[in-house]
Amino acid sequence: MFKKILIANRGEIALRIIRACKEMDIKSVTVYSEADKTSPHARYSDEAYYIGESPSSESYLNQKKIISIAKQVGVDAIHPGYGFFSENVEFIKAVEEEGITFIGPSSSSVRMMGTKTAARQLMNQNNVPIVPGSISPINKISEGLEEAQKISYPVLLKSAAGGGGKGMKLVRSENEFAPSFESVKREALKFFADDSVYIEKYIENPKHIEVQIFGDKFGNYVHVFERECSIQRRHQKIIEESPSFYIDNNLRKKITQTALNAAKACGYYNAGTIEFLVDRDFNFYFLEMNTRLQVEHPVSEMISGLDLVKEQINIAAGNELSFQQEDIGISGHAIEARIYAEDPENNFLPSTGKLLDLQLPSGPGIRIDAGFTRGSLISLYYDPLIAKLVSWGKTREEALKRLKRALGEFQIVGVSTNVQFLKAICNNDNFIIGNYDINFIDKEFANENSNNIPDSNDMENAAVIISSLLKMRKSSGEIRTSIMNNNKWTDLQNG
Amino acid sequence: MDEFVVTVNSKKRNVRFLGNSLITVESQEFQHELYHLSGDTYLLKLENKIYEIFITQIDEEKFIISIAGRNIHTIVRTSLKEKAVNLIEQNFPIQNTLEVKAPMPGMIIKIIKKPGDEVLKGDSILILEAMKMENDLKAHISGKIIFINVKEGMAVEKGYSLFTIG
Repeated sequence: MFKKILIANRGEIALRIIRACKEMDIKSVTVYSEADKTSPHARYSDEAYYIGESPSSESYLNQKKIISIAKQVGVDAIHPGYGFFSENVEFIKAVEEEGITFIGPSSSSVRMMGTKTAARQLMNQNNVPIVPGSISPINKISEGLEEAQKISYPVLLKSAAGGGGKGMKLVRSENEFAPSFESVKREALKFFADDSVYIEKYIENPKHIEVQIFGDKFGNYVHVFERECSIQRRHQKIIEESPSFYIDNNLRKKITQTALNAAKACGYYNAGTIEFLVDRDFNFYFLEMNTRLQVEHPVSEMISGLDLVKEQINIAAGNELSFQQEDIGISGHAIEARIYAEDPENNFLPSTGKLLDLQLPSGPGIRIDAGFTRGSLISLYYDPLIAKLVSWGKTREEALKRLKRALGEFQIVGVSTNVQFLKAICNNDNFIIGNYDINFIDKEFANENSNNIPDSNDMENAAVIISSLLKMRKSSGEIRTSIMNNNKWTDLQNG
Repeated sequence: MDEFVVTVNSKKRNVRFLGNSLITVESQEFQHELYHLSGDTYLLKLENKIYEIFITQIDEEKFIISIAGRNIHTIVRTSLKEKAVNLIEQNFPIQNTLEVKAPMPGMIIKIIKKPGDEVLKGDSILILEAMKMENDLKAHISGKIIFINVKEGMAVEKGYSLFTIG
């Protein structure tokens, strides 16, 4: 087993990995930027090294610096977390070449899945259903028009190197095709430095369902069931669940088996996720493979009882998978809500500032993965994820009730958050009965006023009264500090 | 008798302290107890309900009251002050005032002027740090600082109202 692991990440996921290291008696090393000097991830690890200025390009995306620290301090392995270098072929290769183990798949698996057209081709050859459309880049408009005709409108034009909803355009009819084609090409070049574009049938109102898989270096494969991730805003997941209540055991069997085939097709090892679109008729199509640990992995942990990060480390160290498919099952239901520093009343703009107060929920069936503490700074430089709230219940209903209850226990002061918006989703009838697809937020929350629940009369009264009390006390010069009689200081004095 | 007018969510509420921990908000009566928990955190008991409240004080009369996960903005004035403010607003509608907004998100590092100060065009009012650069925010017109909406150490979004000169 490894003696020492470097975590090339920050925030909650760095803490998540440190926790796994501690439980496995492995020393953890973190790196931190200027803006993260006071962040918990730097102080929870056994060793922490400053790597540069706040912008990611000078710190968490500084490949040379990270690898040179890894060599200097003598780590056996690097865990990339998610984002940053987690799916970067060049970084993985550089790590491999230094004789350090990358906790994740091989660079060749990542490369095979990195380009969408190449991945579609590979999946097509391995009997993994893909969304109908082209499996190689479209070079000429005439070629595209022909393909669109074949699969019928509406179609999606997508950047082959793209992701995250960028470099993508919906084309509803033939006369929209040419201008959209040029525009996606331009965008793809700008964002991904690659203007290859391909075409896909547009699936109307699909659900986003993904399968967690694991492979070891001995060719053993298992899946950890599916996650339902249809609650998204601008292609960003905000609520995820496991299992999906939309699919029955029969479809579950098919979709998980297909995911395993996809993983085998690229000789995959370590943790990975196969994303599918599922339409109204329960047809499912390969969307893409995420060759890393996902943000939403805790819901799979809650229903399976596994620790996915420990399993990742175990596999990277060259051990066989610690369990077999028949050893695990689905126990209960788990839901994750992502708490972001953003302002739902102001077009969800990121909100920055110091966390003056941070009180986190707890109690039965609640797990919190947070990357900050009271006094931490939420800066402009990184993802505005403050915490992940995960609830578990015997049934979906219980898990949802717990999630709602726990959302009410948050007290976050200093930045705006989406907590009230998440509560509004939990109170939405269609969400409660499970009637939703990836367009849920656009459909149900088109009106910005619906993003927030107004303050109750009781809360307004409390706010009014305390404001007056403080104003009165301040003007009469009363000291606000109250001293308790039975504290240690007085005991010491008396003793 | 102490009387205050509190503005909350664009509504005005009259508050009276009647002694013996009795308070009225408009015509509703409340028995209250206040306990200072620590730092900026208080417990307020109203009748049979206890609230944990975190206070951010912006200036003499502006507060952000964080309660049950919500942040409620209040402006509190004595009744006398409220009357005076209303009178001024009625008789001297604010003219030639300039509301200065944050040109970019950042943090208020230093506030140089205070409300009531006379300033000349070009005077520095406060310093906003954004992207590791300190930006001097200056008066665009000469006049008097009417109010400053921020405090030192506070993070602001782009477009956040910083101060008003009139």
